[in-house]
Amino acid sequence: MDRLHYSYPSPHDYVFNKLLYALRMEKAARQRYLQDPEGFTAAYAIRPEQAAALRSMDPLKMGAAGAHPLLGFMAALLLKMDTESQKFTQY
Amino acid sequence: MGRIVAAFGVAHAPQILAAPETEDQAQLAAVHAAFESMRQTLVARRPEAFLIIGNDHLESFFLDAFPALAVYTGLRCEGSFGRYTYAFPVHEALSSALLHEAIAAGFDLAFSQAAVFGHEFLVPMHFVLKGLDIPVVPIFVNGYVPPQPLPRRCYDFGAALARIIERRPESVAVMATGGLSHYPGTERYGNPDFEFDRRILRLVEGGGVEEIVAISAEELDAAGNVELRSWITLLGMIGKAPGTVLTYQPSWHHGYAMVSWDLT
Repeated sequence: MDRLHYSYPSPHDYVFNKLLYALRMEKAARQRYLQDPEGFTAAYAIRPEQAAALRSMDPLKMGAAGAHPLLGFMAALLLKMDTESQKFTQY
Repeated sequence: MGRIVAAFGVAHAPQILAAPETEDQAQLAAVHAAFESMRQTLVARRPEAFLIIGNDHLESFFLDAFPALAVYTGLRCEGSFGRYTYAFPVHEALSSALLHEAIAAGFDLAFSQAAVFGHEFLVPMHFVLKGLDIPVVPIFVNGYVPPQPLPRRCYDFGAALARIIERRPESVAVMATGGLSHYPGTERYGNPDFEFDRRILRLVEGGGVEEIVAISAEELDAAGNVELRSWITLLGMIGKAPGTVLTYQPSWHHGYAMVSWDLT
């Protein structure tokens, strides 16, 4: 395997990871994101490809854009749980 | 004199407690039965402290500062999972002694007095500490944020912890929470490396510690076993005692391994 599944987080991706960390840790942040994704994201200086990956809420795309895999995974999962159901699906 | 009276290695996947429809419920029942067997061991041995070694999933710590090795020295081990909220008492005297004496022994630990705990600690403690009043000592070994401590370093750290416990008055149960193979957030999430897990479990049963410690960081990552560092730290604490595999359940996303070491 050429690439690690979990690699050193680049400081160039720090702001993107910080955004995902907020979504992962704070229900209030997820609620703000769900109400106004563009407004929420505007507070973070992320790159266009990161914004596109965020909109997709696909953990693999977020990972490819610099997210730590656990942060993209958990942010997407918790947003899904907040919106769709109280049940854990595909956790 | 301090003594390690029980040792366990466990999986901690959120599904074990949440039990969603995506899971094979018979597999989860086997994991639950193994947790209950461990709980019964705690009931019988009555340890005065429960030391639990886990890998933060970027909840307790973040990129502002990420420790390689850390001990929690706060008063309570707190966190929530789904509808559950936890506040386990911490064995303050032992956690503080481990911090000070590990530093004195050359292991430059970070410490936290206010970390939030995630499922890697809470799920196992939910099952094994149910109805018991044993104060905990949480230890963090970086598994997910490279560069992580080398397996050899984790082993040596565990050995240092055991030497400190030998000089302490408390009897201690130890648990490694993590693994085995799984790849959360990556393209291999649905394809764990069960062969690697079976090799590890054969070595655990045979006391093959040296071969486990010789595994490289790259191999651990490739095998979905970055969390094995918790187990390797525990092996450093107990040496070559052969483990008993209570159950191994290969699920669609995770190799659930539950091991107990009989140290009596």
